[in-house]
Amino acid sequence: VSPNASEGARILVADDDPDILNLVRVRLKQAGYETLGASDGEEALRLALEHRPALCILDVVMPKRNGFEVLEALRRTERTADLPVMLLTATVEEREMARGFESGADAYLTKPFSPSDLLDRVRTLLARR
Amino acid sequence: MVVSRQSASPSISVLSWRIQALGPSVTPRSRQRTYAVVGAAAAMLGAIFALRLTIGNQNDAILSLNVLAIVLAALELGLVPALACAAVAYGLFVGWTVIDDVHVSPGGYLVRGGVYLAVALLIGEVAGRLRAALEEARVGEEEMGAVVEHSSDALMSSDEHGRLLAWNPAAERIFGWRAEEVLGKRLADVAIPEGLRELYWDGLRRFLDQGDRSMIGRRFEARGLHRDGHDFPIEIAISAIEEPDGCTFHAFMHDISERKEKEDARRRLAAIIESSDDAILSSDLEGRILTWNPGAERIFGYPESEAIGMSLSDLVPPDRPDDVRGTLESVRLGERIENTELERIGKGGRRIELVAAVSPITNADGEVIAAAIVAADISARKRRDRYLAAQHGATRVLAEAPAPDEVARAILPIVANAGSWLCAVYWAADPDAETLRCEAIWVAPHTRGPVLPIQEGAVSPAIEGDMEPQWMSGGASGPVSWTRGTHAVLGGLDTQLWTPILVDGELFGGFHFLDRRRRIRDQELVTVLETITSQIGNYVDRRRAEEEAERAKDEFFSLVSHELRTPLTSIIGYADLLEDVEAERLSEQGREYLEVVQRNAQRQLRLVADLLLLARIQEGAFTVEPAAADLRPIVQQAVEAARPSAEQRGITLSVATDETPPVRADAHRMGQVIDNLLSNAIKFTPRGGRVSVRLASADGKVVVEVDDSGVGIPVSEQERLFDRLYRASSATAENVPGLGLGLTIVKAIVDAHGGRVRVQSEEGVGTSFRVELPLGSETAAGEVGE
Repeated sequence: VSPNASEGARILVADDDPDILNLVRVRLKQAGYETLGASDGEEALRLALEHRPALCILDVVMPKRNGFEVLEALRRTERTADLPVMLLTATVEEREMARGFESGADAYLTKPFSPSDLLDRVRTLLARR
Repeated sequence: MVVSRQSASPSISVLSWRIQALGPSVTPRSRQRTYAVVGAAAAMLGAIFALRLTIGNQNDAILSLNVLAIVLAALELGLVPALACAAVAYGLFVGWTVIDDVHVSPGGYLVRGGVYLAVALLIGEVAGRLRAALEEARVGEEEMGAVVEHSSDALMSSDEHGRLLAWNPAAERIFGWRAEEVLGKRLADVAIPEGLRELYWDGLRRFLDQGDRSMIGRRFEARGLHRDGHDFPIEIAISAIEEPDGCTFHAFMHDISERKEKEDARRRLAAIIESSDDAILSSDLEGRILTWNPGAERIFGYPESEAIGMSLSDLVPPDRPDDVRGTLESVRLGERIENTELERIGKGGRRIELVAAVSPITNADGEVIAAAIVAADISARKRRDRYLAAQHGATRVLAEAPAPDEVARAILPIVANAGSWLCAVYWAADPDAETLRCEAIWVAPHTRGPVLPIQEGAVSPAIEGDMEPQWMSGGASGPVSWTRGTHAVLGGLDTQLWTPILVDGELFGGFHFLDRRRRIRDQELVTVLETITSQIGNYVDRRRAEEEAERAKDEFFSLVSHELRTPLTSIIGYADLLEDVEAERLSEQGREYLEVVQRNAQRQLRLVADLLLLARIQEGAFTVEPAAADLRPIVQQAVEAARPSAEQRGITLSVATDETPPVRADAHRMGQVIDNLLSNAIKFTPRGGRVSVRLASADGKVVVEVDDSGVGIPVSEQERLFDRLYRASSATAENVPGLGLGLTIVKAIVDAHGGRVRVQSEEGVGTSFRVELPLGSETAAGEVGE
């Protein structure tokens, strides 16, 4: 894991499954990022608006607000309209992925994922800013 | 001359009678006779003169015989010759007195001169008059005879007993009998058909007994009997002449068969014109209507009394160019116009479509004086054609499976054309069916100027009446609250039709048709539109249900996928984490255990993916997303992914890839195909065997072959190999793990690409799978079901 300019950036991770939330955060921390964790859509939205992280990784299937709804809310809000968002999903349905991109997702990661899949995308998204 | 004396006209008869009474002395003279008379008179005078000289006495009684010569001359030759004769006789008398020197007193000279003169004058005058009368009678009779002789009318005369007295040549010609064959026979038996004879006798009796002259002196039609037995129509005029010896009847008649036939023909033609369903009419060259048959009355609605005198231009729709003048101009030049399709209006502005023929009518000199028009009403046929076309058109649109929101918009022009409307609007209901929004406007082609006071996007509240078709004509009728219509009425659109589209009993939208013309309700059109709108409604309903089902299916697959993969994500993720972070702290044994977890988690992941894919295939929801793809990297990646397991089993894995043209393929799915084939090949190949992959192109196809030196598949099983969940006997016998999904998935994917997959195998030698994808195929996007 080579250090780069985005190291230390704060990343919001939202997943209702605590094991997976933890897994993602561990991998990100290993790579030197700071993380915020949320276990439902509303918490994710609140934290995103509050902290304006460098990147949001949102699980699609979450209670209260699902990943799409959080994404759409972020896009509607001026402060977070251009926030990079990566959707995390356990399904491989093309239709669902299409909806994600329509809603303005910048990247997609399907579960299960390898650490390199995760970190490659994170770096790409952060570098694009 | 065939006509008998009795048969001549009344005046001739009377004269003849008088002449007869005078005797033969006044019969007409010939030249020879004149000479003979002059000779006789001269001889007589000469003889008397000679006798007188010879006798020589004073008695002059002989001289009185001169009177006889004068009488002869007077009777035969008339007044002037008689006077000449008297002068000669007097001269001879004077001559005698001189020659014989006879003394005659002056009174004697006067007496003799007076006697001669008087006789000559008297008898000469009377005889002259008589002769003139006779001549006149003769000429008259000859003329009359000639008339009768040469008349084209048959003349037959008969007496009171009905016996024929005269029978002229025309009668011979018309009735077939010669005069000599029938004279003296009864007229009724010869010339009257049997059925009419009683009538003839009755008439004759009535005339003779009661003086009934009703049949005399007028023309009437009857029937004549020909010699050959056929009867024929005749026209008769009878005159009756009462004479001293009884009554004579003269019947003039002529054959009117031809006239009758012409009349019948005319009547037949008239009947055809009267009974024709087509309009048959004529006009003068200015277009004024001259004749008008009941067919025209039915088609146009104007009775004959109104139509005659109207102009043909009155029948041209006001919004169409008047083609009457041009047509009549062609007719004037003698042209005949056939099969021309016309649009006309009938009484009340009703539109009529006609196919017509217009021909010139000429007078006897060949001059065009009028136009004859025969026109058939094809409105109904045209209308049916349009309705049928609309039905087909709507069906075609629906067959193209448009989005439910697009259906009505696409069908609007089709249904508007069918009804020949001026304009039409598609209104779509909002989800609560409280308002309707103008979604699309159609205006008839070639319409000038704005016609509709409504614009796209206009909104109108929905009312209860919107659920039913509404035909409004004349502005006044129809629901006033129907605001969409009120606008139109103000805009001069007189006829409106609303046909709702209902989906599952709810208002989905509706077609709104408008026209400036006042049109009476066309139930056939309403029915056609109801059919089409109900088709639209059913279609939308079905599509919505399908979309609902599709969404439910998608949601289910998403959920299953999510639920099965989420735990695997943690298992795989934490196993990887353990390997990365804690590996040094694990014993050799521990690392082996960890690897078992990882391997099985991966296997489980593949199984989940395969099961979900299989479920999709079964549901008919499996699709591929083809794009231009190069198969070479896909094959190489698959080989590299399989290499660890091949090495683990001591199998030699080789790959040979030719450069191949790109194909339209779903790269992810094709990768899956090769993965599955390789994984099978490795599974069924014993340790130390070999598996080879080859990519090549041939005959417009790209071919991927996966060969192994494995156990092979019995021929009997090869066919079932691609069946779902089928497991080869070798698999069960060798306890090779797997659910039998791999080849089913391979086949579904290859099929969806429009390609083929084939197997060749020999037990104990090996198996070869061959996948062929068409080059440049555009058919690769189909859905595939099981």
